[in-house]
Amino acid sequence: MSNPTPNEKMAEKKAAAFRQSAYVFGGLALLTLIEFSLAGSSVALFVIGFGKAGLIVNYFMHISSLWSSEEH
Amino acid sequence: MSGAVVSIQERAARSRLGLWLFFVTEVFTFSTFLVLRFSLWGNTRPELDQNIGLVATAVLLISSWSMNRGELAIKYGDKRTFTTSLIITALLGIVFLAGIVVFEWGAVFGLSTGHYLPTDGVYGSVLFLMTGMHALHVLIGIIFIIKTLIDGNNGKFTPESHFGVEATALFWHFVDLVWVFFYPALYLIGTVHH
Repeated sequence: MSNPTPNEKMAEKKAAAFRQSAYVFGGLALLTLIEFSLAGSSVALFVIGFGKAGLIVNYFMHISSLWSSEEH
Repeated sequence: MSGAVVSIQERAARSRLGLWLFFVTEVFTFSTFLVLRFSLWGNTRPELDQNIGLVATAVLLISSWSMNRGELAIKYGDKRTFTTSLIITALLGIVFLAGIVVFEWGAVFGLSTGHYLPTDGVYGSVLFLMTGMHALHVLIGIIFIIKTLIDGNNGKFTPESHFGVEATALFWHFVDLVWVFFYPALYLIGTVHH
């Protein structure tokens, strides 16, 4: 089996990044539906809100890039 | 003079830090609105259309996803996906804005009467303050996205240098982040006040 070319490696990395983006969106959508079904329950809604915020800040806003020299 | 040359990465790192510091100041502003909401409404909420809240939230979430796709696309040199993703994000932003202005505020005569007026006591004033300030940020975000789209199509961004796209994406995700807390605070927490 031949080693993947740099282009193939790049395409693979790109596909993985897009896949992760879709998973994060799926998680956010699921949490929103749970949130909607729990209307009225303040504590649970706050916990879910912070969970959603964590996903956005970590995966969409790449907060780790603030202290990492690696480009995201 | 030292004559030191600052690399693109170094410049981006400094700009990124500045942008995050700006977000910290924004968190103070939006947190104040949340404190105001819980102070004035307590464990109650206004009688709002749940469908509007859910659809608006879904629209903003999808727009955040497409913005992320646009950012990833420019990083990997995929200009076509970058362009389509940013167009989708801007359109969804407009849909969100129009949804709030038309259906929640009833600001377009004949289409919806809205639920409250800004003068309707604590419920109306806090509702308009929170959704108004957020809508203003959405509007600014849409303008940034259009500018980024034009710059991108003029070849200003490359996989190595695209902080403009990153900054616009960060701002847009921040707008979504604010709504993550505003949505339950306005539509879901507490018992309905009739």
